[in-house]
Amino acid sequence: MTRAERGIDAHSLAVARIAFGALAVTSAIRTLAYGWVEVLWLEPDVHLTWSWLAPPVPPAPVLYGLVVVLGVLGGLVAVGAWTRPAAALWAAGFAWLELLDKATWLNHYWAMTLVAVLLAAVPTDRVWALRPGRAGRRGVMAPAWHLWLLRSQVAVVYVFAGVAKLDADWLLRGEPMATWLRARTDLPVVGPLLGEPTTAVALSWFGLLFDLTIVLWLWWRPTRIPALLAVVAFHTATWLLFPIGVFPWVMIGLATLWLPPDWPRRVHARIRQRQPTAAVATPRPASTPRWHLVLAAAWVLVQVALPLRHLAVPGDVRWTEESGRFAWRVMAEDKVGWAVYRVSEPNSGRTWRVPVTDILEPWQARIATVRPDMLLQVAHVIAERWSAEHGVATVEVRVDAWVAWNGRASARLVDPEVDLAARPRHAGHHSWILEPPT
Amino acid sequence: MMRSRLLPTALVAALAVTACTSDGSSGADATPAATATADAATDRAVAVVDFVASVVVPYQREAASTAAELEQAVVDLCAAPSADALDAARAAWSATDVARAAARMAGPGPTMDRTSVADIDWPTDATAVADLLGSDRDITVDTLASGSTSRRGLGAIEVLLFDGGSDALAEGGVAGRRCDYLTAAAAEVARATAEVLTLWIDGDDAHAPFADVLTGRSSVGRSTQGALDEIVGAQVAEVETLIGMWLGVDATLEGPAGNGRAHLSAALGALEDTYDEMTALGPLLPTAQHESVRAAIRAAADAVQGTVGPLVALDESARTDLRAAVEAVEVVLRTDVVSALDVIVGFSDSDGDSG
Repeated sequence: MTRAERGIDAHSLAVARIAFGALAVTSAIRTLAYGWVEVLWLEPDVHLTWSWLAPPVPPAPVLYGLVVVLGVLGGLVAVGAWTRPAAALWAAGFAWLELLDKATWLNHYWAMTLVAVLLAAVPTDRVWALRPGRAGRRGVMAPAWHLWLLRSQVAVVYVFAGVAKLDADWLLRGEPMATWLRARTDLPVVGPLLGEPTTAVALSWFGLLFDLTIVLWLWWRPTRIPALLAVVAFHTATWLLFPIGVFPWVMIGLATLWLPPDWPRRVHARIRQRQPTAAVATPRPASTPRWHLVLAAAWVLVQVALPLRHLAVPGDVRWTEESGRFAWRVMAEDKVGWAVYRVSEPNSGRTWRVPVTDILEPWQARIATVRPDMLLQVAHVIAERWSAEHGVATVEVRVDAWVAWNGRASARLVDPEVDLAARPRHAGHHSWILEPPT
Repeated sequence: MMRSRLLPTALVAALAVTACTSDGSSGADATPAATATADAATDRAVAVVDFVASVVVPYQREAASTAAELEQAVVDLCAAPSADALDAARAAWSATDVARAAARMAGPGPTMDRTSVADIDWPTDATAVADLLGSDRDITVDTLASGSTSRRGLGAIEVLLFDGGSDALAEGGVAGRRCDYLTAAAAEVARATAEVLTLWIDGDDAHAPFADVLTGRSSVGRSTQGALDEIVGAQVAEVETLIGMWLGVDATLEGPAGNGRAHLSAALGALEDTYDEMTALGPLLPTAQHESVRAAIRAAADAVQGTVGPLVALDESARTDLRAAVEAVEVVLRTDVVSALDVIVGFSDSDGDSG
């Protein structure tokens, strides 16, 4: 039996499963309570679809039903009933929602989707499950690689979130932290401190070092508990300061995977003032088929490769955003944009002005105006509509798009002379994106 | 979502202290960013208070004062018709229009309240004004106030004072009904404008003074962030109005007085005052953004000054250039100001984690 196959207590995996399920339920409740089904999927006239897959937006009853089902599936995962099918269905259903409009895409949604896939792939319902899976009936020991796989997923998030911040803006200018803190200088007592440039630089370095090294501190036994407390403090602070939804709680829940695998049993016993039962008394897991390990290794490799793929694309990913998704660029920059399209009819020579908010909802515009691929898609939408509504075979659509980036004065994002209606959508580099401001 | 700010404050402070004491690299006070942000520690709440005191209230007072003068000038014209009295009334109208343009740019809340706008400067339908003038229906403050918004306000007064039949006002006798209309409309504008000022500085039985609401001094007051959101949001909306309705491709709100350039200049002037170097919201902007914002506003103001005559008389090229200059102001408001003040223009309630 290899190290990867040796048995570990399955309780910490169960806690991660319960935490994920609870957050999936919370996520569904938030979506319904905030009216996001209406706002995100039903109200927009135009949806910003992915170039490689554009499922149609289902009608309202289906959408509401899907969100409710996602909540129920999250509940099933949490209580450990039909866990793996429930996690698989949750991942599929949640991915479906994410595919409807890429302006809704968030790093933490992607993180939850990946974790759901892993919960579907590895049994986490051996213990503390209403309806233990087949593996659970063989005992409370899980192969160590199950834990490693989940840990590696969390590690990828943290490390690449740190790597994304390794630039002069973050390290030397203290941006975008300075921009964010400047908006909080009215906080009592520490407000003036937050406006100090040194505070922004110091907090930037702290955040960077936290992201890059927290996995090490969690992994190393002497620093594990302080590191876990730091995780709780850090993510609680980000939850309070920034609108990042359930992401902090996802990361806090998953950070417990670095504790000794039997920690939940020990805590449970301490609460009940009993000696913990010995996990070693239960049967060990069966040996793992080789292809399981190969698949797990391939998964990890893909997770490492995805965030690096932007290196194969020309341009600064921070500015172009090309290949910047699925790369854990979490809170790495601050961008605010605005775009006005110019629709020209070559035959008449006339030009019309179309602000981006004439096409997109404000929340979509906030995302799209700083992302060239979305600006391109909107140009295509305008061209199609214009042609259809005015009976014109050819129209040219240009955009004047400006972005304020990491505390710099606003600069043009794309070449305003290029007819975007004639430029194809693709996943590679778009030559009409202008150089970033210095 | 309302959350306690004490905890994040404590956490941030702790993090800052930790980082400063454990990491020698924190002493980056010589970086360009350090210089740029040094002046941005200005208290945001103080800036909002200053904006209200130094920009909003003076402009609202000016709007109320000029509207009262317009009302009086119209009364004087109708009591003693003459060419001079007509010129005085026309000048008073122009002053009121300019003051209102600045007040609109400077003030959210009651200034841009739907009722106020409907009473003061809703777009006017000159044909509807002519129809009412030519009818035998009663024209009083009450009938105007309860009637269509397209037949009252500054726009209606402009038509009555400047259109082809307005010269009769100087001659007396023949302009009785026009005088009735003018007097009622001017009185309604003066009342509504005075009410806006009152709502700002005194409030009414149901509302606290909006100056207190916006600066958070009232029990139902805005947070500083909420106030900044509202101020910048109103300014963006107003600049959009200038672009779309005053400098539109096919249309302009400019009426027979040809006051468009003065109207635009006044609005841009109020914007310039908002982002002044020393007062109001200007000190909240880091140097780079501040220069960008000021330059765009100044360039637009210069572009307005660089044109000659009414907006309606501009050729397409000149109007396009002028519109581009004002659009550049919208860009800096929507990017530099929104970024620097971390405000949200338009609804946004979703999560975000990509910066």
